Amino acid sequence: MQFIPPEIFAKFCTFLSPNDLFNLSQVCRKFRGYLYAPNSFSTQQIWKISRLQFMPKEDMPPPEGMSEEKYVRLLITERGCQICKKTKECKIYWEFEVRCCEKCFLKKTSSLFRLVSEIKYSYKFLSIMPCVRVHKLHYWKEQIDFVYSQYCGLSRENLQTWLEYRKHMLDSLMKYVEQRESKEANFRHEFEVDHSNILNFFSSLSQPLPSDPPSQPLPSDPPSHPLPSDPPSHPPPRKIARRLKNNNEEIDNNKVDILFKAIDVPLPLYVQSVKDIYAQYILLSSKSRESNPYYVSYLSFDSFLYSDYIPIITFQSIRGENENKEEKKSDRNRKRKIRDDFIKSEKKKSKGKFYKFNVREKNFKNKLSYKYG
Amino acid sequence: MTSESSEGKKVTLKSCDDVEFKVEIPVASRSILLKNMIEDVGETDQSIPLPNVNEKVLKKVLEWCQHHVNDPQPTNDDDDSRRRNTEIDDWDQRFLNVEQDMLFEIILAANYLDIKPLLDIGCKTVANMIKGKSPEEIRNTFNIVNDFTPEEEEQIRKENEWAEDR
Repeated sequence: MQFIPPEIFAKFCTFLSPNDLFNLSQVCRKFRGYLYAPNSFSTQQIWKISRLQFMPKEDMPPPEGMSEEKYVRLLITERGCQICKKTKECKIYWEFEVRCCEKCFLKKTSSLFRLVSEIKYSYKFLSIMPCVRVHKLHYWKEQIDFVYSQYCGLSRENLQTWLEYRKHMLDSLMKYVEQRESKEANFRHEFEVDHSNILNFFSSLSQPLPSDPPSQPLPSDPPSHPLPSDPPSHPPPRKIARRLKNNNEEIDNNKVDILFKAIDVPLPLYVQSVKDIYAQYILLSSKSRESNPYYVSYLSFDSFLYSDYIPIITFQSIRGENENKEEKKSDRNRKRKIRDDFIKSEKKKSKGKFYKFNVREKNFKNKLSYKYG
Repeated sequence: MTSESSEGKKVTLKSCDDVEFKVEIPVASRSILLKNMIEDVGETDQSIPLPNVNEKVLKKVLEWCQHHVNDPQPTNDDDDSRRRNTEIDDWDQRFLNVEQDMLFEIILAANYLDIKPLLDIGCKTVANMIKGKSPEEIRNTFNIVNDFTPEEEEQIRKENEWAEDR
């Protein structure tokens, strides 16, 4: 094995994952030389092939100036914090070329305020240094120390070129971070659409589920009507119910009677259906408020009206098929209970995934370990 | 003479230890090196010397060529699909179930003779021997001496330490 020429060694590596390559690089000097040769095209190629093949989601090239092996090393988030080597939950800070946990981040960084007020770095110097905003601007201490020693050792004529170079690298890095974030955001978006039953559920709340009876028309859609036999001029029960709700009117049989004088559908049934809908809404919203505080904001009266409860109630009450109404209602309630439970459990499961994602800067947990492997 | 023509055209290969092999041209043409050579030289009674391959290895390689004589020639653009497919078929697996030295010699010969599919399965076999092993296990598998100084080793250990599940 040790007498294998480098080109064949590189061939072996095309079939190995980054983890295997790291292990291989620790075997002997020769292998380490092959895998860490600075400025070697074949070395870069080995790591790149391995990354593209075994981390297919990481198809972005490394930031300018970063070697492939360093890039891959940063990307293996399941190895946890690179500083304390204890915490699993960590985040990649491209600005500092490090992957670490919240604790180590705070330990290793200094705020802009401190750097300016206590150590008195010039703004000219700090303007070329990468920083991360977590409530305030944070600079990586070691990076600052190292680059500052370079900065101080420069002659006047070299200073300008050096500053320009650093500025260019900083711009390129920030652009890279931005690209990465937008890519990750896109990915998260896809992920949510594909996997989030909660989001799907709430967005589809105003429409009946596919398994439900044919959808009720919206009021802005006059030709269709809950009762095809009804003349189009008749206001659908849910419209009335809405009016009652809006005016905070008591449901009063007499009043409704007047409203529907001209309607030739059996009136008591019609009125009954309006009352049913309204009562159902009151019952449901109070119930759901108790059981699930999140729910209130999603269950407006309107969304209730166009949700899947109505079709069955209206169809049946208007047609006077009251006999199996109760049965259907309890069936509905049972179904909704199952769904509520499901939502709750999904919410619990995915709490970290969805809610923490949005708080990017506070989110030290890198949840993207599924991208690897 | 008559029996030879009925068997198809043959070419003579000579290993580095001066053993001659008469092989049919399609079999020898599995090697791109030999294929090009035969095309360039045309029919010849002279044997083709292979100074990098000994008898044992050449015999083994020709066995592989004979078995895969009807395989389609690999093209350049299936590089990726080839890499993704880490499966090795049963016959090849048995064929490469040899001592490690032999395995590496076959790989080197395949590289020299330019037999891509054979080189691939050889490399895959070696990669499979490396996969999932710790550095120490890799050293043991291939009899590699750890030539790092203690300082270097400490440095490498630190570099590669990571948070384990605990």
